[in-house]
Amino acid sequence: MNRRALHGALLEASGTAAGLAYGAIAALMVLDIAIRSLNLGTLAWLTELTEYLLYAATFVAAAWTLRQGAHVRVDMLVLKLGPARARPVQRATDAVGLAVAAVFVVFGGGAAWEAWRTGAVQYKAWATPEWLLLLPLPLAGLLLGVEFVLRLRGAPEAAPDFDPAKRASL
Amino acid sequence: MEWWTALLLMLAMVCGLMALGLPVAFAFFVANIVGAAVFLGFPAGITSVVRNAMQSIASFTLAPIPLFLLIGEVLLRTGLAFKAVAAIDGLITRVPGRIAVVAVSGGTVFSALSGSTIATTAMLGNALLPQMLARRYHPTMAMGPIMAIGGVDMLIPPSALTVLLGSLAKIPVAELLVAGILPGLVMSALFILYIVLRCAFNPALAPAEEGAAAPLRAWQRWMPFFRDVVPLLLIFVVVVGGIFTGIASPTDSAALGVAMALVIAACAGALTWERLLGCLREVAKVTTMILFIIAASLTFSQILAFSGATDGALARLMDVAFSPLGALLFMVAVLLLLGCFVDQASMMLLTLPFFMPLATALKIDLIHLGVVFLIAMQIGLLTPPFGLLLFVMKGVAPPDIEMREIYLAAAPFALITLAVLALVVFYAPIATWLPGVFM
Repeated sequence: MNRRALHGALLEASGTAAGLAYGAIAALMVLDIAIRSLNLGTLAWLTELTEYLLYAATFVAAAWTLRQGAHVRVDMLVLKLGPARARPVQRATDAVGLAVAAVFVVFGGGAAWEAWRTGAVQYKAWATPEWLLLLPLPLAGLLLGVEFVLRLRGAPEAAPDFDPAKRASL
Repeated sequence: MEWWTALLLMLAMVCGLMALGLPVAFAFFVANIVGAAVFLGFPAGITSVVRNAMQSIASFTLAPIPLFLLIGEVLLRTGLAFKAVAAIDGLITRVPGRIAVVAVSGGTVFSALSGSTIATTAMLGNALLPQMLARRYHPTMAMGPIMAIGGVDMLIPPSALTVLLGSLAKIPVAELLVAGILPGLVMSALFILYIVLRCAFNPALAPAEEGAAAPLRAWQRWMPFFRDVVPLLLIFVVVVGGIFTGIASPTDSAALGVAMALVIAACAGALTWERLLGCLREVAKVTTMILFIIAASLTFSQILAFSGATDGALARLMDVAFSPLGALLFMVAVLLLLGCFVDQASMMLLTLPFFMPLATALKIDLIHLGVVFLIAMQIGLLTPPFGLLLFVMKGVAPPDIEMREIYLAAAPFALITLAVLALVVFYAPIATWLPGVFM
């Protein structure tokens, strides 16, 4: 498997993992309601786990969502320009996206490293090492960065034709 | 730096980058990174941008969003939603513009089951638009009701956008969910009234269905309703009943709604692992898109506050001596303008840092404000050039339907929604009565 295919497989896995995380949240909540209804106690850690899963799933799947063309964008101007004139604009915005991804890698990675170095722990229902919580930030930055590089290099799989009708939204 | 310079800098960066086509979430992150470097200091400010991204979305109050979306996805991918619309189709007979009325009625029912405006519009567009066009309905009468009722999904629980607004604006989510029901139903009723009157006065808009099969007996029409619709209404009962009675939190209700949807789908023999995985991946896609924007929310509001932009703008607004009603009208005007150009999550991020302090200072009822906010955003779904549901309709309509026709189709329904918005602004009990009675 070449590196681009590996990246693609990673993105697909991240999308599936995020979906499974939401499925797990639903299943655990139903279990918690059942346990509470039977006066058998409560899953005291569920709130904390749900919060972490919401955050981790969002960041881990951000690059996959980008590849799906599902990050909402205001594309009126780009659509008006036509494909030829829109291309340099698209490249410029991809470069800006790459810069944002780099910030997540450098500063998110830096924060995770600092947390690991100092042994910082977040105390809620669990005592969770903070570096573990911060890890999705540089990971997301890395995946997003590779995706934006592929877009800048014109890799066909990284830049699906944008279809305004398929914008994701609530 | 003057407060207005800071405000202009932040807004110009976000709007400028959005206009160039950078995904909205990244536009907010760029503004945050630059704003943090300028106002919070480098490099500590940038570190707070990435750390705040985690804090913004690691929030339990956001949990109903993927769960509400999952309910709708399960019903869509298992085909149960289409069966329900077909059952409602069989019940409504001899009404001018019959299928358009079916679209609104079916959409109202599906709004009570699905948490997504886009899912409702896409489902009805696929199920009923070809039927209406084949029966020579005028394209505007075929498309308008579907887009309009898609927007109502935002008001009738379960609604993911309501959860998002409640969470970001610190408005009690349970009360806000219940408060949307009455305005949503009023809107649906007015849409039906409009369709019936227009088609009665101009039958060419929706020709009578000639050559249809022999009329069915009452039990033949009602049986599909009891078989395909009534079980689905259990989802609404579980979700809204739990919230109404206070037995369950919105998150508990959402989880029970998911469980109920899965049980119904399994009992109907329509649930497979493959479909379930497809549902979860779709939910992951939409949730990621929306929460990634929200990840920028905390820093964005912090920078506006730290730079003095929030206080400066608020003081200037208070100088204008707004009454609560004047402030509401001002907010509506801003939201309607924004709705033409940006998506709903961006509208919240751009306005809530200013609107919420203003509302608190003027003692505006937050539930009332929340419902007004939701309806104003709903109109944004229908107003060109960026109205999202206009593009969803373009995606499901035949290729020869032009964008101009879609705008025209949405226009009367956008005006009706605007009328309901005015009603809610001037008569708050439409929004506040139901939560006041039951909660």
